[in-house]
Amino acid sequence: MSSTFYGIGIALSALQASQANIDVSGQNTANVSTEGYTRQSVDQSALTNSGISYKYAQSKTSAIGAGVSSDSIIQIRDQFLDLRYRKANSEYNTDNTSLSILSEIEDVFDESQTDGLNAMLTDFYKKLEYLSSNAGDIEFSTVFRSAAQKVTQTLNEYANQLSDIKDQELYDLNIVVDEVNTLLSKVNNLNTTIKSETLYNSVSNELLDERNLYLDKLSQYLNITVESNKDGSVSIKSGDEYLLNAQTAYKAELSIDSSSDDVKLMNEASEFSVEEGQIKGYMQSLNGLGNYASGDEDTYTGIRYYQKALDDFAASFSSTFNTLNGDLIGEDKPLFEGSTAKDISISTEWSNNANYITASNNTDAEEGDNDNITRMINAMDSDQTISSIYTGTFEAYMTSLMSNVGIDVNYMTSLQKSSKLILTSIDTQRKSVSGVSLDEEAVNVIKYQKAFQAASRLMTAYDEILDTLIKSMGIVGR
Amino acid sequence: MKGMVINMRITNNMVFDKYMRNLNNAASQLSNLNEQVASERSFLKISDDPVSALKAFKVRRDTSRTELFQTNIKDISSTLTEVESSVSSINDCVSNAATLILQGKSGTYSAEDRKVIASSLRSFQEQILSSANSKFSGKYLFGGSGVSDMPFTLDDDGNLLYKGQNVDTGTFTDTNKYIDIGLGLQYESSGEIASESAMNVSYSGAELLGTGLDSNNVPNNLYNVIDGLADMFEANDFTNFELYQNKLSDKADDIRLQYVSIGEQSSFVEYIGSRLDITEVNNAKKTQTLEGIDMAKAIVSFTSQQNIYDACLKMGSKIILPSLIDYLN
Repeated sequence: MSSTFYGIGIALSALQASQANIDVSGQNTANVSTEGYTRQSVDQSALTNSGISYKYAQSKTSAIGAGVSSDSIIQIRDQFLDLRYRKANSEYNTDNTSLSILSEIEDVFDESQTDGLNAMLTDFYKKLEYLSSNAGDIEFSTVFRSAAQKVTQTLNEYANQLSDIKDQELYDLNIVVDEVNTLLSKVNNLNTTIKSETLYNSVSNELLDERNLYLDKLSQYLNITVESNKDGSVSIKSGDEYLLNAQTAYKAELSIDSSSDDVKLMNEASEFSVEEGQIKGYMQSLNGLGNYASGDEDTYTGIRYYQKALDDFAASFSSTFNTLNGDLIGEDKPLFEGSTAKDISISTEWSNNANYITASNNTDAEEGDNDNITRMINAMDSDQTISSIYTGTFEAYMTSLMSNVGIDVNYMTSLQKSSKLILTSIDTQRKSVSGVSLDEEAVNVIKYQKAFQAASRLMTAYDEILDTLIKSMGIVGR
Repeated sequence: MKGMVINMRITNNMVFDKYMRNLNNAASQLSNLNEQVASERSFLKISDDPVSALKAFKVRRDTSRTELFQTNIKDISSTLTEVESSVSSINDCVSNAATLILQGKSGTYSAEDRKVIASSLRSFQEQILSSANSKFSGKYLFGGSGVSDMPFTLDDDGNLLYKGQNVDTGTFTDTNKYIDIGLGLQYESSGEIASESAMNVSYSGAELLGTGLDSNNVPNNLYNVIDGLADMFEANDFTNFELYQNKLSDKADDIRLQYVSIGEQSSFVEYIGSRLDITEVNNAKKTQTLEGIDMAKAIVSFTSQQNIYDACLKMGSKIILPSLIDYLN
C-alpha cells in the first residue's frame, strides 16, 4: 500500500528526468562543433521501494516502483579507442615530421628543375676536357677555373642550407618541448581540480574532456600511455618512464641539450628517450647518421648523414685534385683549400693565376702538353674512395646522394599516408562513438518533450485525484 | 572508406571531416596536374618518380658528354684538315722537285740552267719549311705536343734545327698528345695512355721530314736532302747524286704514306663524329621520354580532375547542411 502522495513523487521524478534529458540534449546540440567534446547522456535508473521496511513478509510482491532517478550525467567515450588513437597519433606524427624535414633536405639537393652540384660537376668535366685540347691557353684555363669555382661554391651553398635546416629544426624542437612541459602542467592542474571534484562526486564532464584534449595533444609530440587512478587523476608515462605521476606528485621537466652534434632530450639531468611522436621525428632527423652509424648511433638517414656525405665528398675531391696538381712532381701545388663542404674553395694561388694547373708532368714539357690534364680527366672517370661507405666516380656519388633523398622522401610519403589512414580510421570510430549527431539530438528532444508532456498529464491526473480525495470525499450527509 | 560497418553511428563531424579530406585530395591532385602541364615535366622532384629521375640524370650526364666529345671531334677535324693540306703541299713540292732533278741531270742542261734549277730547289725548300711551320688557330701543327714555339728554325750557319737541335745530329723525343673522344680513356701499366683509347693529335715535324743520317751519310731529313741536291746543281758536281735521288724518291713515298695515314685519321674522326650525332638524337629522345609528358594525355587528366573537383564542391552543399532539425515544424 503506497502513501497518498506517492504518485505525485513518481510524476515529479518523471518531470525532472525529462527536463534533465532535454537540458543534456541542448548541451550536446550546443557543442556539436566543440573540439574534443564527448556527447553526454543522462544515466537513469528506475527507483524501487525496498521491502526492508515491512514488518511482516508479504504474500506477493506489491511494491510499486518509486519513479525514475537521474543518477548522473555520463559521457559516452571508449577508453580503448582513446588508447589506440594516441598510439596512432604518435606514429603518424613521427612520419609526418620526418617527411617534412626530408622534403626540405630534398629541396637542397633536387636538380629536376634547377641546376645543382651534379650539373656543376658535369660542367667541370666538360671544361677540363676543353682545357686538355687547348692546354696552356689562358682563356680555356680561366673558363676551367670558374667551373671549378662553381663546384666549390655550390658545395658551400649546400652545406650552409643544410646547417640552416638543422638550426631551424632545433628551434622548432625546443618550442615543441616547451609545449610538452606546458601540457604536462595543464594536466597536472586539471588532475588537482578533478581530484577534489571526485571527492564531492561531482566531476564535470567538461573538465574530463579538456584533460583528454590535452592528452591527445601530448600524444602528437611523444608516445604516451595514460594510467587512470581511482582518485580521478591520471598519470602519464612515456615508455617506462613517468612524465607525470599523480600518486607521487612527480612532474617531469623536459629540455633539449644541443651542446654537441648529437642532440639529446633531457629530463632534468638525465637523458630521456622517446619512441614516437614529433619529438622522435625531430631527433632522428637531426641525429640520424644513416649508413655512417656505428655502435648504437641512430641509423636513420638524417641531416647529419647528408652533412657528413658532403664533407667526405669535399675532402676527397680537393685532395684528389691537389695530389694530381702537385705531388707527382714533388711540389705542394694545391688547387683547392679547405676540406669540408662549408669551407672548400679555390686556392689563393689558383685564383691569382689561371695557369696554376700543372698541365704536364713531362720533364721537358712544352706549352700545349696535356698529359696531366688527361690524368685529371681519368680521375673523374675512375672510381675513387670517397668515403668509408662509398667507392665510385665523383659524379656518380653526387647523383646517388641526390637520388637517395628522393627515394627516402618517396618512401616516407607512403609511410605517412598509411599511418594517416590508420589515424583517420580510428578517429572516425571515436567520433562515431562520442560525436554529436544533430539528427539524434533532435529525435531525443522530441522524445523527452513528449515524455514531459505525458508526465505533466500524469501530474494533472494525480492533482485531480487528490482534489477529489480531499475536497469531495467524506462530505456525505453534510 | 572501405570496410566501414553499415550500421555505424554517423555524426555531423564525421561527415564534415570526411568531406573535407576528399575535397582536399581532389584539390591537391588538381594542383599537381596543373603544375605538370605548366612545366611540361613528368616529375617535378625526384621523389615524384625516383626510378625515372635517376635514369634521367644519367641521360643528362651522357648528353653533356656527347656534346663535349662532339666539340673535341670538330676541333680535331679542323686541325686534321690543315695538317692534310700542309702535307699535301709538301707532297707537291717533293714530286715537283723529283721531276726537276731528273730533267736537270740530263745532258741538255748547261751549268747556267743548272743554277736556275738550284734556285728552284731552294724555293721548294722554303715552301717545305713554311708548310712544316704552319699554324692553325695560333698553334703550330708540327711541333709535337708543343704548340707555341716554332718547330723548325735555321741557325746562323743555315743548318735546319728542330726545336733547337740539328736535325742531322740531334735526338728527338716528341711525345704523344691525347685528346679524349669518348672511347674510354685507359692507361697502360707504364702510366701512359693506351693509344687505342684516345686520339693522338701530336704531329712531330721531326717524323714528318725525317732526322739523322743513314749508313751512306745521306741525311734523312727532306729539307736537307733537297738542300744537298741544290748544292750539287749549283756546283755542277754530281757525286752522290744517285744516293740523294734515291733518298728523295724514298722521302716521296714516305710523305705520300703520311698523307694517306692522315686521310685515314680524318675518316675515323668523321665516323666517330657521325656516331656521336646519332647518340645525341637518342639522348634527346630518352630525355623526352623520361622527363617530358605526353601533353595531350596530361591535359585530358587535368580537365577530368577539374570536373571531379567541381563535382566534389557541388556535393558539399547537399550533404553538409540539412539535418533533421531543418525538417521539424
